[in-house]
Amino acid sequence: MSFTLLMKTWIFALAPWMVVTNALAQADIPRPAELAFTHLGKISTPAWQIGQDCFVPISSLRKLGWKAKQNKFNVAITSDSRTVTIPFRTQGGQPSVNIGLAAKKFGAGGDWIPGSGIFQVFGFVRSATIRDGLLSIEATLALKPQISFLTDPPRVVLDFEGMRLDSKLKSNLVENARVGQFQPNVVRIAIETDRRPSIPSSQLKASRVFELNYEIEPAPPSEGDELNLPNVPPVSTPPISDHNNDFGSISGTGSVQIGTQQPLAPTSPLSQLAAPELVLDDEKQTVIRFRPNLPLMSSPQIRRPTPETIELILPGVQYVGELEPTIESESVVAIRVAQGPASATFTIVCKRPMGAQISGDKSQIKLILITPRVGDGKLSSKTIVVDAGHGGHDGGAQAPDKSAQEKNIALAISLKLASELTQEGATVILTRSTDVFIPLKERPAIANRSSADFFVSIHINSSKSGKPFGGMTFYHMQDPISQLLGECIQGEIAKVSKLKNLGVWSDSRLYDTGLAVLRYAEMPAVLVEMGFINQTGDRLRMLQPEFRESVAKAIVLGLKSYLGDTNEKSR
Amino acid sequence: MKNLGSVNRVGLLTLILLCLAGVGGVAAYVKFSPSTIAPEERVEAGQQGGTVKVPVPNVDENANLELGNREGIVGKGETVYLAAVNGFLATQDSKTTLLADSIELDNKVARVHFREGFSTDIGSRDEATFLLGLRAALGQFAEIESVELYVEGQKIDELGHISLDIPMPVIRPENWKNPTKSGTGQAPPTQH
Repeated sequence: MSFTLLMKTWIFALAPWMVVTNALAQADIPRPAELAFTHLGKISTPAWQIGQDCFVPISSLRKLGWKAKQNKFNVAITSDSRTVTIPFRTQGGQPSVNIGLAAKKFGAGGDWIPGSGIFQVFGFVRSATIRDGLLSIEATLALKPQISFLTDPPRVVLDFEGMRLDSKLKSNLVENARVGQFQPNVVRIAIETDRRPSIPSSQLKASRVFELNYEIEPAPPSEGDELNLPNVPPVSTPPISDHNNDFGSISGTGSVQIGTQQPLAPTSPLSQLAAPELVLDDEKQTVIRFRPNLPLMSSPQIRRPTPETIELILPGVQYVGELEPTIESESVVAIRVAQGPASATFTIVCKRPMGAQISGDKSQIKLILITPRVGDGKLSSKTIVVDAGHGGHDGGAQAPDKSAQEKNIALAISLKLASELTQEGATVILTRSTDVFIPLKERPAIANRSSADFFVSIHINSSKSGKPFGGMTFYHMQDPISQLLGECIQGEIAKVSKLKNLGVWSDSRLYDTGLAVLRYAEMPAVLVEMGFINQTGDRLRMLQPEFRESVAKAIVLGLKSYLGDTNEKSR
Repeated sequence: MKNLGSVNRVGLLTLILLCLAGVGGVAAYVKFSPSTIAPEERVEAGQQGGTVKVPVPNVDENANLELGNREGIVGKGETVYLAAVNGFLATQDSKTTLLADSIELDNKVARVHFREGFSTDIGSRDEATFLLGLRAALGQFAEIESVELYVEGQKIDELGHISLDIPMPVIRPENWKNPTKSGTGQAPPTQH
């Protein structure tokens, strides 16, 4: 065999192997991946890693708040009135786009989180300014803050998840404000102030421009040097985790603990209190100030006997003013005072149901009444997302003998509720109408995408420890508007359910980060736990068809009560 | 012969180019592939017969949770972490099959692994109790700062009610009595 022939044979024998090896090495072999997007976190969507790029189906872009229009060769993506055009490729049988490229075109960025298979899309904060008490933040993608109040020194802290500081950040902050990269994907802004803006999280919509007027209340007279009166809870939304309290550029430690549930304790001597004063009264809120001559030694408490009535209990206070003090308010109809041996109770009757919060410092307590946004106040014009908990492979709680499952009871009540709401003329969106599994985050996302007015989630509880029984309604953290909605709904349910009323709970009382479906909802949102399935009495009651009908009607009445849409004929 | 020599040179050149491309491709693949395996610290078995604190949940009839504690015994070949966690899980339901298989420590994060059979057929009260108890059980160990859950090797990002995409810090024993450390401070509403 000649050398030439040997060479030819060798080349022909090896060439296919080399071509295959080369192709395998160079090829962009798609691998399953996950997408995390700004403050929305992980998105429920197929995703693939191809080379260093992340591809997601065009159909998933709506979950990011983007609109996509597919042409023959490319896709036009619109976000916040900006449109970019990028090519697409078919992946997993679906037209898909390079999400990192799209983000880049919007002036944002994307990175793989090392070792996780997660592609994180983040926006850049381009400017942070404060003028006349108005904080204004502009970013390249929609942003949404978690707001909290920290003490020592008192300050408002805003955490923007999924954001990074632009290297050319335009910052025009006042002396007592700081902006910094708190965590790799969290921008934190802290403003030292003793003025506490009251912003229900349900009113915070994601947007590329965020504005906060943190001087909506006049500053209190500074009678004391400290603001850390221990038992007076200020208005607050706790940070995502109170284990990371600050980014260190502003001194101070410790997040404020909200609510102490301490029993009322008489103080000696009693603190004397004259008539309350009206501090602010506009279409958004009414602020009433109480100034005892001595600091309170226990937390004030709020109760709501009816949707329109709020009781403020001030422990250790002796009221020395008129028993029916008057204030010139558009929202408050009457104030009555009842003096007990160790506390004074102020009953404030409002024209309509209002959210309520307490703000306080050493010398004064402020009751902040917040007017909910109700549009025309008619249920018939509203869109309600009804969320039947669990479904599919996720059965939820089940009876000890496995005779009943949460997913089935929740669905039956939800379908009945949808029917009742439809009869009232409301628009209803069910997160599920059959026995299918819907991921947690997708449920509020459905409501957010449809700009729903309310999100109502239906669940059944269980407890292997102890023997709790009864029904309760959850709202998220310290959102006073969702709390009001929960009180209106739970109050009506308690009238008809024939189950023990466990009341209205902040979901942070159950678990420190709250319930997922409530955390991600951008509108007033509640989760109703009808009763405990492991308790025979609760379970037998919940399985009655009459129960479904009565609680469904009660929820409708609760919504109408919240809206001020009270038609006695419907009751 | 002259033509044949020319063909040989073309073939040789093609061969070299293909080899270079192949080597380049392999090098690029290795360089840009993200590492998915992180080194984990080895957790030694605890001393058999040693003790750990086991959180004991107590839910009152109004659904409020307190975590008490009892002493747990470390079994043969068992780590102290596993003894604490499975001791807690056993307090939830004696019939349960929900026990952790193993717990690894990686950079102060305890990875709790469950086998097939991990069940989430529980209500929100149970789910919160489950998570708070796990965080408390591991909170007695100073070297652990947070907890992650895995089922069949896959990290769990959500249960039936609670999203786990936010780190789960441990709960130190001094906070067991009030594990959520928050609440509304609001009295139960009066019946309408």
